[in-house]
Amino acid sequence: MRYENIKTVVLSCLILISLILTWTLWTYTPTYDKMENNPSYVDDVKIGKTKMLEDHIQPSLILAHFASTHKGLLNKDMDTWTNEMKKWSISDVVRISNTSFERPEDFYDFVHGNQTMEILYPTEMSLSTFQSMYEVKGTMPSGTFDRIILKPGQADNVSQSVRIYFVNYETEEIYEANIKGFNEAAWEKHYKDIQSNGQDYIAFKREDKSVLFLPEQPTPLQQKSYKQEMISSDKFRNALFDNMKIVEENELSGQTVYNDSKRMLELSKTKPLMAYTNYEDATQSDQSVVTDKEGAIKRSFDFVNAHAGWTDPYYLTEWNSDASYQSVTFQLHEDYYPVFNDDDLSKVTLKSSGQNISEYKRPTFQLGKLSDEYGKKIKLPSGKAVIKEIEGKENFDDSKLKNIIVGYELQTEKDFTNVITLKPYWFYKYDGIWYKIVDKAEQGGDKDGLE
Amino acid sequence: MDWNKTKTIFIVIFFILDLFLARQFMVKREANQLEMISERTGEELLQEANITFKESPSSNQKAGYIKAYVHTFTEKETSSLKDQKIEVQEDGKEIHGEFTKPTSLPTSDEKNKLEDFVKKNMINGDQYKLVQVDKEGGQITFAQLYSQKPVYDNTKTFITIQLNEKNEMVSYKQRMLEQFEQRTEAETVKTPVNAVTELYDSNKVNQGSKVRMDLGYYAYFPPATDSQILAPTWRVTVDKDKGEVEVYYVTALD
Repeated sequence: MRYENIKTVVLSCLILISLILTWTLWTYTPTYDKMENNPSYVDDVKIGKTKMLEDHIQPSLILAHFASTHKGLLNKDMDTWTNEMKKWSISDVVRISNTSFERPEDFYDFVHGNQTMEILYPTEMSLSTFQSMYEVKGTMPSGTFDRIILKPGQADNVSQSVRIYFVNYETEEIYEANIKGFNEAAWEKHYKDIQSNGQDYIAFKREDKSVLFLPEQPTPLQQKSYKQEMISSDKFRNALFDNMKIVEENELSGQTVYNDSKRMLELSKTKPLMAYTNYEDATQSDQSVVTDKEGAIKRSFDFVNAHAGWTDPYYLTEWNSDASYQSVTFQLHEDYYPVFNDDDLSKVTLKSSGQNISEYKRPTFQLGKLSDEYGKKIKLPSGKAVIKEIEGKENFDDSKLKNIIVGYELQTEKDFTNVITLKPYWFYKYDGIWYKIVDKAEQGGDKDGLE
Repeated sequence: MDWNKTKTIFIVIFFILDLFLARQFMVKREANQLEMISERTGEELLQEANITFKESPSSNQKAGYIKAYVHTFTEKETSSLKDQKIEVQEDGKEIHGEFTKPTSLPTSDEKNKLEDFVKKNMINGDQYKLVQVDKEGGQITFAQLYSQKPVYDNTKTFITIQLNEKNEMVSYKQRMLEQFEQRTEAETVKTPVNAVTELYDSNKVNQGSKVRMDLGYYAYFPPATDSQILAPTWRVTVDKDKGEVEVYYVTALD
């Protein structure tokens, strides 16, 4: 019986020890200064929603090339395609030599030839940016691309797998890879789908044989009106400064300025725009600091995400890299059509030097409720007419013409309040600047420059 | 059911559970200790990189954020200045003075004698401290002090004395801040080791460098208004080749 008593005591002890251990394990914290004890600490500010990078880098055009014709996916079907891409798994990305092209046009045949699907992005970006969005196994080579080419496997290929290439059209770099989650049957389905449901595209061939594609007759688009919802300036102030005690507020002519010893936030009083500058990062970046160029897009995206600043569908449209700084632009899109505005009311632009964001400019409103009034559908001129108009430009040089697309222009009321109107137009990028094409019948032929 | 047998089984089960929990606890504690260690290695890192401090900087200094306003010089102030021709600029925010007789640079005890010169010849000269004598550039720079700490590289407060070819002091420019306010309570600033480690990590300080650390106040940009926020900042002077120096500013409060 005594033996049993000892067992009872041992068991009780063990239970007690397990309870103590569990308790300490739960409550164990090292002796750090707790954030909660710091009165100047501000809770994370959320302006909109936290988003994923792949939702903000979208193709600008998806083409299916046939023997003598080209068809493009309609914007309303773009969602299906981007969901398809999320299933992909890429591996073994390697650069392939492009010396196999004997004539310069062979490269363009490779990109735009029969039995090819071409996914175009609005700007070139690093391959590592693609890896930040989609599953890529192994290391990505350091290189850039602005389009993806998908071709069916060769007839003698037993595995029947699709061949995928990342291509930089300007530099003619080509990277080959393996793809899983997108077999030949899927390729065939999408290719056929674009053939039967897509719209016709015409090719504008430049002198150097490179090609620009634009819709032969764009789908008529509806003019839309949104209620303009202002985002409180307090939200931006709280998100961008970390110690409110040392933030100064000053009313200057035309703007409200918040600043501490390093950062400045300027909010325009006349236009719904803000500009934030971090001078610590702007002034102290010297050449000796290795700037992480490839990470600039992800870094910029994450910066806005940190205060959940992705209020509307802003998609990547520009990435400029310089020795000392990187500039990344996300532009407002409506149904995958880019939205343009003279006052930069449709752009979120970030500059970074070194590892940090030194400049952040954006509109301070978001699109609210869509107006119930049914906007009129606007039929735009044909692609051929647009080419003719652009070619009629004085001293026209086709190598300076980078893009011709259909988009919306964001129009505000005179006092920048209440209503935002999106009106469809043709736009083209010439010598680095976007221009709007105004229908002669509508505006009596005057041409508005859009910078 | 036999309670004695159940007890035996329970003893075994709880023993295993305790072992498991104890192990978990050890793992957690070790992970935290590792973090502590990695913090401590700043000193070792600098030692390995052979980075040395010129004067051993005092640790555990305290400072907080401050605010100050631009001072407008009055006629009463300028009229008290003797043996110099005064010109008031920018609505009284800056004064340019020209000495009627050039003064040679002191040959010994330069720092004290120059500070003494400023004290005697300029408005509130006792509030300024010598920062740099640049004979090649022909300029001597002074910084205004707030609670014994200089306000560095500021377009709104400075004294610069211009030298002629004979290294004589001929003229000067002055700006001043006033109404200093303490905006946050003084707290212990970042250690000099941590500040230099930051610069080393971003490749701004090379191996084998000699660095000099001074704690002062700094603003990274001049605001458009007449007031400004100044942050406690380490001024790090790094010796480069051929006697050249590079100056970096590292925020002293995180």
